[in-house]
Amino acid sequence: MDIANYLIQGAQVALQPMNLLFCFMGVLMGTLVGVLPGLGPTAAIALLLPVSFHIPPVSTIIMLAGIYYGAMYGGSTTSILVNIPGEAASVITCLDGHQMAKKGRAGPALGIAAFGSFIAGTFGVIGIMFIAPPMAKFALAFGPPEYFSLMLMGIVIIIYMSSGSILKDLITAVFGVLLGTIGMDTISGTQRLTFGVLELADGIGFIPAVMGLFGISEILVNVERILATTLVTEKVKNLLPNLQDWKESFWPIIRGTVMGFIIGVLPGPAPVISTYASYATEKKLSKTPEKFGTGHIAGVAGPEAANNAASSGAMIPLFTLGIPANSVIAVLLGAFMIHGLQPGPTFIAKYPDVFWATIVSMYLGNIMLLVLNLPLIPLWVKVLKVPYPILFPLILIFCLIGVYSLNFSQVEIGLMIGFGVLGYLMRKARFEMAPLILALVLGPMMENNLRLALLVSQGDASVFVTRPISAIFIIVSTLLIASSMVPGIQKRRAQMKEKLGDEEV
Amino acid sequence: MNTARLVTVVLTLITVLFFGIGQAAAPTYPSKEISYVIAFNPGGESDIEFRIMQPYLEKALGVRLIPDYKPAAGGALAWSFVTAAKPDGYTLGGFNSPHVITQPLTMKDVKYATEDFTYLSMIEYTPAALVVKQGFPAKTLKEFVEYCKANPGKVTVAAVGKFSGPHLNVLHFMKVAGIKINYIPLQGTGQVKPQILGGHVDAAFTNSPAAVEMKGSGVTALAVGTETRMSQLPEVPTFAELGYKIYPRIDRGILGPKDMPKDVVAKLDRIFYEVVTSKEVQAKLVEGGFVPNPMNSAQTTKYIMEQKELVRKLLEEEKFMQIR
Repeated sequence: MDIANYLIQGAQVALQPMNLLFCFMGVLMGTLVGVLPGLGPTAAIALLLPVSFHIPPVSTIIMLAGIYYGAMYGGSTTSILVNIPGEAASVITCLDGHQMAKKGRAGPALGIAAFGSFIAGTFGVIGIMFIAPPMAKFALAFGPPEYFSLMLMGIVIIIYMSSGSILKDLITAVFGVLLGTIGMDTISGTQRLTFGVLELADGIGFIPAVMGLFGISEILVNVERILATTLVTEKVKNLLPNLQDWKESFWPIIRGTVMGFIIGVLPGPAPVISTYASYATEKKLSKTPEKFGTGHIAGVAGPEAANNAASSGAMIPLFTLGIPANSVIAVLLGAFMIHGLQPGPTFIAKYPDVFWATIVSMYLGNIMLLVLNLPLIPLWVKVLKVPYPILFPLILIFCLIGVYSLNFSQVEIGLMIGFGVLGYLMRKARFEMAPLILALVLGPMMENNLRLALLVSQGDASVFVTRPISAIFIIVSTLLIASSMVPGIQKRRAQMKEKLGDEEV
Repeated sequence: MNTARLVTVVLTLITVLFFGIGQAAAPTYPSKEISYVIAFNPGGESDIEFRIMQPYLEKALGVRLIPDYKPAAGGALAWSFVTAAKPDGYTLGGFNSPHVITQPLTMKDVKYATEDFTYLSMIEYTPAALVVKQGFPAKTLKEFVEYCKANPGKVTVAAVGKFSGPHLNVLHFMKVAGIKINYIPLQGTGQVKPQILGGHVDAAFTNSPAAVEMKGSGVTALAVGTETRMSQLPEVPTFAELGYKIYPRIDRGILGPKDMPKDVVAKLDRIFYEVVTSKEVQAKLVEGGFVPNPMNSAQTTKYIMEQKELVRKLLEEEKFMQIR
């Protein structure tokens, strides 16, 4: 088949020492950037853009793509170790990953994250190879009504992620949606809740919010405790996942990969959404859902696989349609254009050597990342032994530098600190923070797409249920809500029966 | 004199001498790196055009140009920043028109006015193109206008932003063609392609590079906003040749804060003009999908002010102006 030939051709280019070196540099930088809180792949790619002018286009793409999926690997490290997401898609990994670390199981957590990411990344590349064009067509079928219904389903998923009070999570989510309205509204052209601060015109930055909500609040909460002097009180043993871990993680990884890949193809903050979806699915399907949130390895394996698969999936619209799925890929797109590579539907046909070399290099990159990350696990685990008084100021500095390095904006530093205080108060009152983040991301998209859909249909709301894909999401959302109310209804009925039963007697 | 006085006099003399020497030995401009503020994200069109010119500019100026990305609020943040910077020639920026015209007129809290800059040069423009989705019943601009007249307010046309350059292009076209359409504001250029390729809107005003990229995917470009047909889109007529004397586009150039020293402005004017008119740079710009449009400082300033009048009239007619 042609593909075998293409692969060989691509391998010939990708295996050249220069390109191997660039691939390595890319994944290394990506991992570093993913690990350091605040710095994201966009910053790294932007920094390396000037360098890319002096090297051939293929090498540029290989390196920049390496940064992108490398960051997905690195992001889980800080999430697991210190409960601070290295970047957007790692928020969910904090939930169970950090709990595992606290129980002395940081090694297996990091290990399963690395392996899961590798498996997902590899399948993702295979996916690109074989089903890129049909996937791209599928993504195009998503218009505003479909996006709205998808986001709606995403918000409903929050109910499923909840390990505590559903009411509290919904309150948090609604608050997140409200926060998401801050900024300039494209449809009406007006500024909302910006209070004259121009920096807020684009809305609350995701990174300052996450860093503050998770990072700063974590420090504030821990400063109160005068207990142990290190994060991990139990002895750290078994640096790699054992057989039991693999048994529990196998299906989550498979499901996470598939889900992540499909969601990744849709333009938008796909990696984030895919991790939430994977977590919720695993919890729903698990025989022990109550273990989620206390350090269940499936809660790490699934989402980690999902976000790596999503980052592979996000490459598809780039190569098949020239559409960037998120701002990181947009920078990649710019790099293409700077080198005279015209993106668009004919990209693969026009530049097969570039495309296939990139594919082969993505395989290689995934292998390199696994090899890079595994031996580092004992090292990372040692970080947990660093005493609080040294560790936390360091984390604080990293957070501050990370946020400031984004846009050199004091407003964002202020936002981060504000969110930090908010996070601290929320934790004290036993409110979960993950729903806030999800709502902050989904809320604006949901609102925007709702209004766009109604604008196009001139006020006709039936468009949400007459279009098949959108209808599916609406039905699923309704079912999800209904089925979550059923246990509540059943409980009520049981209680009523008891009461009546007592009275009868 | 007593000691105190002597010391005072000597110190004063020394200060004056240093001051004087300092002035006399003032280094010629530029003597250190220049910061170039880019109002959008890296990898975007403003960044690409900067990168194309960067090596030539650095060679001619003799110092490095450091890009400073300040994306936010559609560029308003970056331009507010430039306007407040020291007008010593070491902070310059790229600008987009009509953004620098529409923003002060339509956005709140924008901390600059269109007149608050020294316009140094015009580099290029990116023409807009009107494309229709696959399967749309009109295949030429004439048919499109007729269809819109027969279905007022029903045809959906998407473009980026509200009261933005692309939106104004749509409004201008509507006025000149005498039609009413349903305008769909999108959040960014990345959203335009999926909407039109997926058929979720009937038509879109895109930047010409996007129209070029979509060739062969089923959408039809009906017209383009250049003066003569584009080499990358030879089968697409211009609005002008079809009878609509409009040239919808985004212009890009270079500016600095107001009140820069005259000699600095003159030097930059000369160097920028040489670079943007050079054959090599123009060829690279064409490759990037831009249309070279070199203007010097005086021509650029005149053009911006003329455009401002046009925009003001359009906005007033549509009752968009929120302030001033």
